[in-house]
Amino acid sequence: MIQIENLSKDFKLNKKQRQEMGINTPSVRAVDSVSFTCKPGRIFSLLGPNGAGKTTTLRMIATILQPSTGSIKVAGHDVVSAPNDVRARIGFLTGSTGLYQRLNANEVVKYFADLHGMDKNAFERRKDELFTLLDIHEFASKRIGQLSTGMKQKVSIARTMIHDPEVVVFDEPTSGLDVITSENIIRLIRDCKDQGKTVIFSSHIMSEVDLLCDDLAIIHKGKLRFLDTMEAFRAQNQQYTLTEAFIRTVQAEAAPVS
Amino acid sequence: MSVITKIARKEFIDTLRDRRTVIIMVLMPTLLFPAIFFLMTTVQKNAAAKAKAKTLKVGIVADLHQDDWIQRYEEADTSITMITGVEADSAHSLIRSDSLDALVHIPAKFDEALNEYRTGRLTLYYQGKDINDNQIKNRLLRPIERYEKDVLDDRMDSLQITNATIDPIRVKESNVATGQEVMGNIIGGLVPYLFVIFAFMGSMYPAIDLFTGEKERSTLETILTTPVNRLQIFMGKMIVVASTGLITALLALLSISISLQFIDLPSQFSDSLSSFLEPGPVLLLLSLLIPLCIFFAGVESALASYSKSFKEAQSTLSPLSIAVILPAAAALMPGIEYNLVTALVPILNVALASKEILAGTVDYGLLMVTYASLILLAGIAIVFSVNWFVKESNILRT
Repeated sequence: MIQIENLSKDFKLNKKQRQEMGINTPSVRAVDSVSFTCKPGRIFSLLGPNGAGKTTTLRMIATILQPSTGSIKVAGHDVVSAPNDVRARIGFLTGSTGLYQRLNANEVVKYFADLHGMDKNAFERRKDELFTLLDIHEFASKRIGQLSTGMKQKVSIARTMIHDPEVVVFDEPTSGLDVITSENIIRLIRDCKDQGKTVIFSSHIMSEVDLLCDDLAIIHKGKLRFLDTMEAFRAQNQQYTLTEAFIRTVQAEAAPVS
Repeated sequence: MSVITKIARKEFIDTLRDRRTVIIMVLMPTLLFPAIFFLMTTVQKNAAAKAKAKTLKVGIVADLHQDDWIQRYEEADTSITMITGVEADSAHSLIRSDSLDALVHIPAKFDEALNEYRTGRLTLYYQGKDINDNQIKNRLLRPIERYEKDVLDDRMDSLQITNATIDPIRVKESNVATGQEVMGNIIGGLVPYLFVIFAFMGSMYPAIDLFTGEKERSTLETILTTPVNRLQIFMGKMIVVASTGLITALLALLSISISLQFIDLPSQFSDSLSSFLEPGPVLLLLSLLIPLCIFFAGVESALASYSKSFKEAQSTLSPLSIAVILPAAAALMPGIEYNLVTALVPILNVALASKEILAGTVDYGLLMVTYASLILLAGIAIVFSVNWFVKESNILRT
């Protein structure tokens, strides 16, 4: 479960940044009073154009950034007061694989298991399970630098899931990947749902969201524009294609959802 | 195994698989000195032997007693061929065109002056471009010097004076400084250079790779979402950065001491060298090197974690590698001594303390001050770096 209440994030700007952005204020609000809940066993999608505040929100959930105001609870733990409890329960995956090129798959996954304090038996069991599921065994001893993008993405998934997190955060996980490689991620997201995990993923691709998502939040310029189930979104926009509906929602001047 | 050890182990594996780091950390310090020493001694020896054995064509223009001069030269040096029938006026062109190696011109006035107990003046034309030409010049001067001695002996006999008459005072110098002290100052001035250069250079690439590299490879976010304290992550990395600096400096030191065994040194030099390589001084030097490496690792890690890219980190740290040599160079300036003030100045204190340790005259009180200063500065560098490492604006600075 992820519970977000009235979440905001301000970034301070230096003089150069203010000049570049043509802003006179000392800071810029990237996320503005956002509240939503992601439930276990459901896939929550955070949809928005580039610069909407999706990544900032997910980074706050993952404890990489701290909220300016508001609160986030992940599996019952507050991201500010108990960040390590949150980190122990989340898996974080982005489109960039984020792997060490000079290590091999075994070493990368072992390193992250170590960082999560897994004992040897639990690690071996889980690694074997994931490597079999993702077909990693055959290239497990090859250095990451020698692997194809698809193989790297599989290792990245194993790295994210090695400690069997109850909450999984995907930040534009398929960005830059081809259809075949993206399929691994889509399968992973579905598996997570089937296992009763809480899943949140950000995207700007409507078709991907349509394929996976149970609950939808559309975010634009840091503010929530839509928050409901995917079913409700479809029902409200029957006369439009989903992409059209998304664009209409983003461009609507209507008061944001709080 | 603690988390810090696990992080350090992974970072060591990662670092040792980086070809660039291995070249700078292991190959450069290990091979540089034997290569330099081998090259220097071989080239020097060859050139010296060549200069010694070279057959010299020496023109002789003597208005009087030319045969005596030819005989003097040929007796003194069998590799000299005397050439007669040349003009003194063409000495320059003959030597510059390599027709002759030298020319000796003894005017008639020379003999006249000698007979009248005055100074006889002759001219030696030669081409002196490098150090080996000096050897050739010495060969050309030797017969003249022998002749001068004979003339001097004759004059003293005929005037009935002894050596004591013209040498009324003789000073017997007795230097109470030990050979180790003298050599400590010479070698001790060089050791800190090795420490500073190799400790800094050796840890530079690992610092960039482990800190800036995490950003560039987008791995920073993934490790920051693991339930490990930021300080532990930082310490695991710092251990590796400081260790690579230490290993590089130690390999350089080891390599230079082994290389020195294979070159011909004056006995005074080699005796002092072996006294430096005793466990006492070596351990004291090591005890200085460790906090120095931690201090360097702290500074490098801070700058590397601030940098956005490898390129930016390199352009920040490379000029610094020259700047850190300056305090070490200051230790060689006359008048700069190891005292309570200099013992506090980082790098300079290591340079001065190394000199004192190698000379066997180190003040242990001041050494403690140096340790305290280095450890304190290393601590400040670490606190500063950790704060920087986890600062939101820095994490986002990509």
